[in-house]
Amino acid sequence: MIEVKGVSKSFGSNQVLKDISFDVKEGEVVVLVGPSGSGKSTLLRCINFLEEFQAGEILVDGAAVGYSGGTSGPSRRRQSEADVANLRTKAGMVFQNYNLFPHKTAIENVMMGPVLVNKDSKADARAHGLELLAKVGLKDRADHFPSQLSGGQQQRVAIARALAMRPKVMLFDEVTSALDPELVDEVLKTLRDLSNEGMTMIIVTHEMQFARDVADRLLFFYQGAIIEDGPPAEVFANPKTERFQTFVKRFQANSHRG
Amino acid sequence: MDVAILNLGYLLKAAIVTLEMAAATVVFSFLLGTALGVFAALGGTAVRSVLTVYVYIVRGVPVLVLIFIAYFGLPRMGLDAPNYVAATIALVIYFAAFVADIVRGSILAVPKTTVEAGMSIGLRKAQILTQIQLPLGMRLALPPLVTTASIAVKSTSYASIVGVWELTYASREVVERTLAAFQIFFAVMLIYFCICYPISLGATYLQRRLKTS
Amino acid sequence: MNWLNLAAGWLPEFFDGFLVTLALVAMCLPVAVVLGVLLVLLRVSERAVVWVPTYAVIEFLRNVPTFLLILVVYYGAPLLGSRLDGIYCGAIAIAVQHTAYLAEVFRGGVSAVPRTQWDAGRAIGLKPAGVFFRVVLPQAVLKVVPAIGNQVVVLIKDTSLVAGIGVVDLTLSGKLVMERTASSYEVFVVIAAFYLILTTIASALFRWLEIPAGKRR
Repeated sequence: MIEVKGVSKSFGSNQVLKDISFDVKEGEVVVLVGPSGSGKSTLLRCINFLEEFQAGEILVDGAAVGYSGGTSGPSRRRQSEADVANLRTKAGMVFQNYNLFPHKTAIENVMMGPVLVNKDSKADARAHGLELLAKVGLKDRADHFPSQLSGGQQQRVAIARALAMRPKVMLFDEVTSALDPELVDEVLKTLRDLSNEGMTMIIVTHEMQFARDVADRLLFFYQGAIIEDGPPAEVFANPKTERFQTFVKRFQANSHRG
Repeated sequence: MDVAILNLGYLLKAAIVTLEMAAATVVFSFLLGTALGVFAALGGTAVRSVLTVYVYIVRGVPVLVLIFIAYFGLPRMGLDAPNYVAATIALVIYFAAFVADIVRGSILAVPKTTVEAGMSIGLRKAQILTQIQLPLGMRLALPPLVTTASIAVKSTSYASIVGVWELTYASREVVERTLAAFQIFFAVMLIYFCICYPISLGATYLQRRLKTS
Repeated sequence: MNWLNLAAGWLPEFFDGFLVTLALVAMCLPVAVVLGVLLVLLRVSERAVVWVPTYAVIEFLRNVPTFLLILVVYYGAPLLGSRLDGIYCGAIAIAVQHTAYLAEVFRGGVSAVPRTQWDAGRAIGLKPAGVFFRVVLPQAVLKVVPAIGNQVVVLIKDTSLVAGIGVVDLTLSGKLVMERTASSYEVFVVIAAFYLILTTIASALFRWLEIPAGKRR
């Protein structure tokens, strides 16, 4: 479903992604973890081309993202804005700070993509949108504005908004990091439900327990490279690197949930 | 105060001229300024630099000097326009710069993350502009724009210096005729106040209401 | 027509006008600042009998055209028996209005100073006026240095309005030169450039002042 091949990215002279390669199968739930600045969020944002990358190729459902013509070299060209926008509909993204449109109600937020991009009728979009809001448990808040919703509720609306485009893969960028501890669980439950339905998901998170429970695969990022890759149980039990051990220990010590 | 009341009809007629001039100034400068501001927010460095220079000049030059340039310059350019047209053109050019700067700043103040959210659901650049950046940007721009409108109303009084018959000019006429400076000017100041104060209250109200959303 | 020759001929007259403009700024600015500080002290008082009339006066002055205020002093002064020169009429009007403007600017700064600062001042034994002048006001002023800079630029530009009552400042000197030399709007373009230089210097000065101000915030 997702193929990342040799992706490298630098911000100026600072290389944040070093030749990253991995695949994600359909229905897989992959969790990306690592210290801040390790490149995991950047890589996620490359997948839906919110970030450019100087070398490498990313394929979503077989189609190249952002560039056409290979992984590097003169034939590599940026895609048109239209193509990029089109490809973004295949990958739904949920952000750390929810990023709901403040001037639209919850249902309007969810309807925006289908109406404006897919040219669905407003009636169809509304019906589908209400279904999705019901799925995340917020049908009765459909006509509320984001300012009237709690953080956890806003995040769930954001998830519904991303799902409205019927994406092939869902990308989650630290979606619980900005939430008060009491609100984290409701969002994690929604993620769990999605994974049980077979959605392909790539999740950047600090929630280690969640990673252990839900992920099929765990990738540990460190300074722009993946240094651990495997089922979470295995990685936690037999880490290949000391760095991962240190990272996990630090997390258990600083855990804000307990 | 009877002097003031006797002349009130005359003064109110002049007040209407002031309002007409103020309305024309506000409408045209806001239209021009919004267009410039949107271009500058989205366009490249060329457009933005032009706007920066334009705002810098207008910020640093008195309105009166601009009015004089228009008043004496327009006939020279072959446009034989009445004095109030020249004055209004000067005022429009003056305030359009401020409006453009406010609009540009407000559009750019829309958080990048909100724009990215639009991108992530596949919206095109034009759609993000019309559905997200403009609506949210104009909300931010409203309080300072309303304040600018209030200043524009007061600036119409400077047109009296080039002979435009509006409220300030009329009040001067009446005072020179009746010598009742304090009563007449107090009445006229009250009229200006009654126009401008509600506008500035509107700005404060908008500022507070838009902060919560 | 040789531009340079023309310009050179104009310069001495402009210079006299320029001096008048500078004189107005020099008279009005310090007065407006000092009175503005006193006015804001009244404005932030908690006693309604003090702040309500102060609010009314400030709002009234802020919502009337500057030129009208100048006219009030110009036509009103003789009625009160004084024979004020036009320049002083202008100076009084501009100083009064800018006192109100600056009081509002200072008020913005004062309201941005945390409540806790007031408490801290009282806690070390200062009386309310002392707290205001020694603790709150300095912090307020530091916060609004850019806004004060903006107001100074507005003041410089407002001085041009005395041209409307015949005071030969930089603007009116332009009109006189224009009439004398039978030229036209170009004169005012040069005048505009002069103002631009003046306001640029003033803005640069305040941007420079923002550096120490920023450190002490």
